[in-house]
Amino acid sequence: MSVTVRDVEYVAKLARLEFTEEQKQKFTEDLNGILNYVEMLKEVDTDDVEISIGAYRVENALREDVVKDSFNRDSLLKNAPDSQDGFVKVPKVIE
Amino acid sequence: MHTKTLHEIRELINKGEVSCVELTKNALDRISKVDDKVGAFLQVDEEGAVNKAKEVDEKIKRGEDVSFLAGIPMAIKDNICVEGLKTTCASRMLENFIAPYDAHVTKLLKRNDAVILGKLNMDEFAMGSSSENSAFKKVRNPYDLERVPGGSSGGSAAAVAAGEAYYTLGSDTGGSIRQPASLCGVVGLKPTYGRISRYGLVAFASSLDQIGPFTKDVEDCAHVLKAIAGYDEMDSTSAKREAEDYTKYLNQDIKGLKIGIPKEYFAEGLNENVRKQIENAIEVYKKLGAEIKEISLPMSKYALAVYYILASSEASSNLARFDGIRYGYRADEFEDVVDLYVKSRSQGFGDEVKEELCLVHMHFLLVIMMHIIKRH
Repeated sequence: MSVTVRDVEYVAKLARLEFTEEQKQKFTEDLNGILNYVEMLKEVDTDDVEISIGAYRVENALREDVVKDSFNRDSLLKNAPDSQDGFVKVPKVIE
Repeated sequence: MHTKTLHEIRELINKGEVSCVELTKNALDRISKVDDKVGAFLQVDEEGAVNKAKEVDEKIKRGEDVSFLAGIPMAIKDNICVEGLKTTCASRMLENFIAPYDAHVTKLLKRNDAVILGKLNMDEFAMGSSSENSAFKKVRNPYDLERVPGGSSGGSAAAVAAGEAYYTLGSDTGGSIRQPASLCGVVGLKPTYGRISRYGLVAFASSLDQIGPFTKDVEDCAHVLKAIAGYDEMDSTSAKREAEDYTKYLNQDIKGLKIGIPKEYFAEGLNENVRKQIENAIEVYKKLGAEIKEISLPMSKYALAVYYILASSEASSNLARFDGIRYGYRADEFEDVVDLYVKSRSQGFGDEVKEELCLVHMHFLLVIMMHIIKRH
């Protein structure tokens, strides 16, 4: 099964990206290459293999639920592309 | 001076033969002399570095005990936060992002009075293995400027190899420390998952990402690892184990140590010179009394394919946060909020990143399509 330019357009939409025609051509070729390569995984029989989530036993490291100072709002808003009155400014999302 | 190791420099400082300010100025000179060619640095914090060095010199003058790393110039990959400096991930997306806090490793380095020279170039968002995919400039191999330094931590490896910093930090998801270290002839370590907190590292593939050191020799590596390892409550995958003094293992006897040599790693395509070097190393271990045993890891050939799927899936969710809303690049013109996401991401991300983000959707799309076809 191979990927077409239309598929690339569809996944670009899912990833919230847009491409030039040239990029679409290149990505279609590249993605076909990678997908053909990962096809090899199909030959592995995993029916009797137990699910493994890593080589080491890692437990969630939960911390105590204590109230602590958080970040200063102004220092975080400095990186916002647009802000007003202590809030991040975005285009209108409801009609 | 710039060819010396971290531990040699420590000795010189301790003997009073060089001051931290001198060292720092030397390093800054070295950067201005060679970095036009090497391209390892994205940002140099001259003032911060010199001030820190002065502070350490004064501590030493007052007779205070200082840490092993104190006053020695180092640098950090540009996907690890240093408060007040830019963290760009070598991407247009974060070109103007100023880190509002220190990464855990940065906090530990500062506690050890490290002199932070600046931030290091890399493949955009750590995706790549040549350091050619930086949005700003390419990193070059200091040993031969026509060759790549490897990646994605190419800046971290090249800076150590070119004597621009005595040690650096990088990050490794699928080889991004080990491979550039090898290509630049320096020591690079990807520590065990959980050993070092990733708090303040811009995430790529969280189940694989680790921060680690680049140094000139193994002894230096033990010192740096000791300083940055340990539990951190801000990273839930961080192991609840204290940092160890890794330097105590340096001169231990290895008689009887069993070393497995996976035969799959000597596959077709392995460079002859590389093979010879590995064989030399095996001989050295044998002479030191280690037991060498050939083993087989038959699933090795599938590793890269599995990696592609895992890494692109995790990258896709980790990079969803770059939407032009709270921080990072926002397109100048857009129609509505969805268009804002699309335009900001399309203009902010480089091609390599976009392709990675598409790959995962493409893979799932094919899986779904195959299921549909099977059903009919």
